[in-house]
Amino acid sequence: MAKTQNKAHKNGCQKKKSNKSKRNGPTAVAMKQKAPAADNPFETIWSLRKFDILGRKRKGEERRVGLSRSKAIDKRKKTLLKDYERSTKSSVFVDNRIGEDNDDLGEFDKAVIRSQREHKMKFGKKSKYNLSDGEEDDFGTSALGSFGERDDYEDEMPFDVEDDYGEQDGSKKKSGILRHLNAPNVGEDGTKEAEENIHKSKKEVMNEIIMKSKHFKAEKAKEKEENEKLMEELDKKFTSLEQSKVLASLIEPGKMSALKAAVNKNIPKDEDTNNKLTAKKPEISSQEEPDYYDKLFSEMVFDIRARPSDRTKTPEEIAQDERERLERLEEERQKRMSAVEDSSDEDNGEAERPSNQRRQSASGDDLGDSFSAEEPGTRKGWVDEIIEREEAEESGDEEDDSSEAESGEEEDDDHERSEEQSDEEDNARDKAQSLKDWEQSDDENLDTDLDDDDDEEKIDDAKELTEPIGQKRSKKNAVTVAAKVNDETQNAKKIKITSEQDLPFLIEAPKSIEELCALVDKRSNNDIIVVVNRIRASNAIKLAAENRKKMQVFYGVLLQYFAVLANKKPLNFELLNLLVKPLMEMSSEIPYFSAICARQRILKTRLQFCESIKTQEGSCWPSLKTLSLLRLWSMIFPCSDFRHVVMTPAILLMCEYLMRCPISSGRDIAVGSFLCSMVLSITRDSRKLCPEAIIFLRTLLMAASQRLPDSHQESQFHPIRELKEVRPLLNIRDDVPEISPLNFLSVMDMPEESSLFASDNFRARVLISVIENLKGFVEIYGGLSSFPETFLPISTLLIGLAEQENMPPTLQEKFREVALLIKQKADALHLLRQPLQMRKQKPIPIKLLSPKFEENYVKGRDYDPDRERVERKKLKKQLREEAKGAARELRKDNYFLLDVKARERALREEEKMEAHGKAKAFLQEQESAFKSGQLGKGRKRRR
Amino acid sequence: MKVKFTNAWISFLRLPLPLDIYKEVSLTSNLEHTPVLYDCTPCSDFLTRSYDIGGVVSVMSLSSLFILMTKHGLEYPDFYDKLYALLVPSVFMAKHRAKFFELLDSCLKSPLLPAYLAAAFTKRLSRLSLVVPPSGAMVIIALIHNLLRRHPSINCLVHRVNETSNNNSEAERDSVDNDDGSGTSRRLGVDHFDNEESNPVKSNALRSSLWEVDNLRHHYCPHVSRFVESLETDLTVRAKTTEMNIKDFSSGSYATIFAAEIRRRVKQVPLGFYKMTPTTLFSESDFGGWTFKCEEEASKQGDESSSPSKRQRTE
Repeated sequence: MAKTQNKAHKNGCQKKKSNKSKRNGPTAVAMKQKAPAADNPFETIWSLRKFDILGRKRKGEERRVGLSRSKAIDKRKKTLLKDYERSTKSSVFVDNRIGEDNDDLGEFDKAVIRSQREHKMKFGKKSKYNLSDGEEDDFGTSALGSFGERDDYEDEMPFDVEDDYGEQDGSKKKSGILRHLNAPNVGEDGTKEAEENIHKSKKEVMNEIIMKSKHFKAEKAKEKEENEKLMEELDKKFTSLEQSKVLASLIEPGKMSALKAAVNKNIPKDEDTNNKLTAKKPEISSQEEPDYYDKLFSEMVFDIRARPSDRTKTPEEIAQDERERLERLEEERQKRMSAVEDSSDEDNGEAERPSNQRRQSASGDDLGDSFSAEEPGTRKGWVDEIIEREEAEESGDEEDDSSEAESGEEEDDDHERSEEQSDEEDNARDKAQSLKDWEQSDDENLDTDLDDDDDEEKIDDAKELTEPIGQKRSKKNAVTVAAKVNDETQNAKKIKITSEQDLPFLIEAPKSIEELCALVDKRSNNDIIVVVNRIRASNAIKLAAENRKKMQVFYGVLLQYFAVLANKKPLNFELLNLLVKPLMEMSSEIPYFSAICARQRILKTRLQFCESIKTQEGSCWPSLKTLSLLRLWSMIFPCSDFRHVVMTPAILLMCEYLMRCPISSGRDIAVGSFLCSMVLSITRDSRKLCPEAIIFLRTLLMAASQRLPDSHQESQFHPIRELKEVRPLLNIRDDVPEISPLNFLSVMDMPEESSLFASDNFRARVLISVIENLKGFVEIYGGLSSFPETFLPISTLLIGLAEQENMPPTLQEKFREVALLIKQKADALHLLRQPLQMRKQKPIPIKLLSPKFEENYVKGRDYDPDRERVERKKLKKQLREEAKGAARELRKDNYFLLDVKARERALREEEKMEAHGKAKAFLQEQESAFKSGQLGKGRKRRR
Repeated sequence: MKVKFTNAWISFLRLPLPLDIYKEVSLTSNLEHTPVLYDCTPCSDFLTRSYDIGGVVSVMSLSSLFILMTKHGLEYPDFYDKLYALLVPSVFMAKHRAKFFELLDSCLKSPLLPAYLAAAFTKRLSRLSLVVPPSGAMVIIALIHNLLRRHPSINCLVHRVNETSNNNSEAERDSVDNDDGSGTSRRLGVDHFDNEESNPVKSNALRSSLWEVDNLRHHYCPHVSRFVESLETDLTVRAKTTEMNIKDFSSGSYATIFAAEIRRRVKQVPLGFYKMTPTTLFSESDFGGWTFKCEEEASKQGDESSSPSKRQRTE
């Protein structure tokens, strides 16, 4: 192997040598072969242009007419002439030799291809295991050698056997590659070498260039160094001169400083090279008197420095401050508490625990990270945990009951409320399940024990295994125990709470409604708000990333609390109002989550509504809870958006209530008309059309009128409800002395069969609210284009109502007023309104007649703006040219053929003439001989 | 066998039936007996009678009648008048409305219908859009779309170029003819359409304009207000437009629209903007005719809190 390599190397060396001497061996041959002998002098002539002609295209300028002509003739000779010759023959001779049909290949290339084919045949599959017997190889190499290598080496060195062997090896090695590569040039060794030659030479050239540039650079560097040295020397000399003050005597003192400055300036450049000089420099400068800059500097040293002002605090810092304040307060409270009473109550423990955590974690930067810093006391074994779980499960129910028993005083409502609460729980569970899809899913939004397990697993995934569970359990335990204690020692606790007015300052966000209930139980409204605010402050989202989750959970809980509160029978309306503000602020902090909460609740409410419509039991109309939630959302979210993720479903739900709920009692009417006014308040800004509300109001008005509307009208407008049921509910029979606005809350509070709903007073009050709503709608929809169609029937209805005898005067007045308003608006609209013109056509532009100018106009280019026409024109032109060309070709073919035929004929003629001449000559000879009488003589002589 | 069955049916149908059985029969009739019956003509009596009753029963019998008319060549003189009378708001809440709308669409499919009839139907539908739920409004828009596309001659309902001279003379004639014009008929804004008129010929629909459709642009339901825009394309150019498939809309209800709205992904949640965060849930200025005072016994519990707001209404 090494040997062969060596040989190859040798070969390479030889080749290199040969390259230098005979660079263009084979190529030169090829060139010579290719260069055509210009036998026709016309072919060498280029077409000449005599004058430049303005605007004429210079296309096809450089061509040799003679050459192209002869080429064309050649081509015809190859094709047409062949055909012509063949036309009289019945059999054809086909040349199947390799490369014979390809004109591009020269003799040499043809030979290459042929030898390649030969190689292939030789090293084909069949002959793979044939041992080569030198003869063939010799034949091959000799055949190759005649063209390639040996020519090159002829004069360089005698051709030895070793080299030959090497070549053989090489060719054998290459044969594998050759099978794949059919390219003619690679096949032969010689051509390969030639290629290498070219390559190597290029490399060499590049090397040379690089070397040169390196050399040049080195020289430059050297020069630079020398220059620097010289400079240094000069500087040294100069400074010594300057210090010796020889110069000073020569020059004026004023210029001296300038000179020094110049020196100073020069010297820093050389700082690295000689340190001595630089060391001297400051001495020199310090000796001189201070310049202007120094003076200023010395003055400024004694100036009063500007104080940095306090930066405005970022929201995070504000939140941090708030939290720290609360922490401080909490600590103080704890201190006070421990000092005053040290009764190790479980309730106390519960209050203390979060604060302990707080204190531990307060040292670190990350305050919310209370899970990791956990007191070891709460850590418990698995067995304990299981026991606790059971306990918790048991006590969970108790706790529910107890909290209910506490929160609601009246026993008769208990059942209803517990239902409600279980509904709420279901709601929350559903929410939790559905929310798992969302990215912000709140794992801790589960308040039942079943879901708690899932919860734990999730936490496990995120954090350590045992600790959170232990903590959670203990927390749960604490809560349940607290609930138990509440249950047992209710009275005692009451006293304690009233005495213990101060609340904990730092409150962990409750994770379930029970926790929250336990927290706010028996507190006054203001205290509850304080609790909520403190929870928000101590778990502000800006403090820590995990707080977002906590706050989301807390938001859900608070919303649930709000809903529960709204459905409580002795309604704490003030607390509801107070809760609005924190809820709104919190939803502005976590808008996405609050929207999802709202949507889930709306969905749930709608499902319940559908159920109740189906079963037809009880009133389908929304409860106070639903109403206040809807109102809350309409306050939190903008109502005027074209499409809003919460408000659109909400208003759909409200309208569905108005459309589908059957009216069966006075309470229903009141709720419905209140819903109308809510719709009004929602649509007031956006002026959106809400047909359901108007129909509902109209139904109520029709019901109030004594006169029976004709049946046709009824069928037209009151299809959806049975008027007969509503009629007695709103007919005012007696005079009503004075009308005060309805109290919404009391209406909602009252049971359906209350006597209030049967009184005329109530009816009048409902009608007042109806007419107020109607007025609002009239004002909103005044601009809509079909306002008259919508409201004019109502106006006639109102006038009819106003004329009724029992109608109270204030109502009559109102009815007339609104009717008048409708009439005015309708008339105005009748004046203004135009028939619809919905089909907006584009205005057709006027045809412009001003002349168009083209910049840089080029003659002959097509400026047609119509694309298709241009395209067509182009194609036509192409067709014409092609046809012309074809005709020309045919004509030339004809000429050519005629030429050939003429030549043939001439040839024939010539032959004929020759034969004729011969015969004639013979005859003439005969005749002359005959005449001269030599005929006989000659014969005689010959004989 | 078939003959016997047919006879039995016919004799049963001839009996004077109470209304509930009527409903039952007409509901099942189109499903079962029409294809089975030997000869359909006798039961057409029953169907025409039930169609004449009006209301829900006629809606139900419409489908069978339609089959008879199209497949068996039944002549029914006042078919379209009756159909016109069927268009009342209750249809949009009825149980079988989907079938009805599809039938209505196919009944009005023929381009050979006179323009006045098509216009009357269109205007009637658009008038109904003022009182129907959003799903109904969607169906109405789709129906109007199809009608406008089939009858280019009634496109003046949605697009009328304002030539004052012509219109004035016409309006003058109207004021003579029409008694309900009452002096305002000179104005273009007055709707000449008579909704109470049960005969589509006399409803004057062609001189009206579909303002109600324009109204729907401001509908609170985004589906509806978006969908109205489909009427803006020039429906007279038939090549560029396609008919709406009524089936896509006919079965709509609050539930479908609500579900579609809930199914939308929550991308961003804009919040309401207040200079001052409101503190009360219901303020009385927003709700005319209502007060929100806490009653005494209700506020007994939260005793130490401040007294609830007792503002009076400003109006």
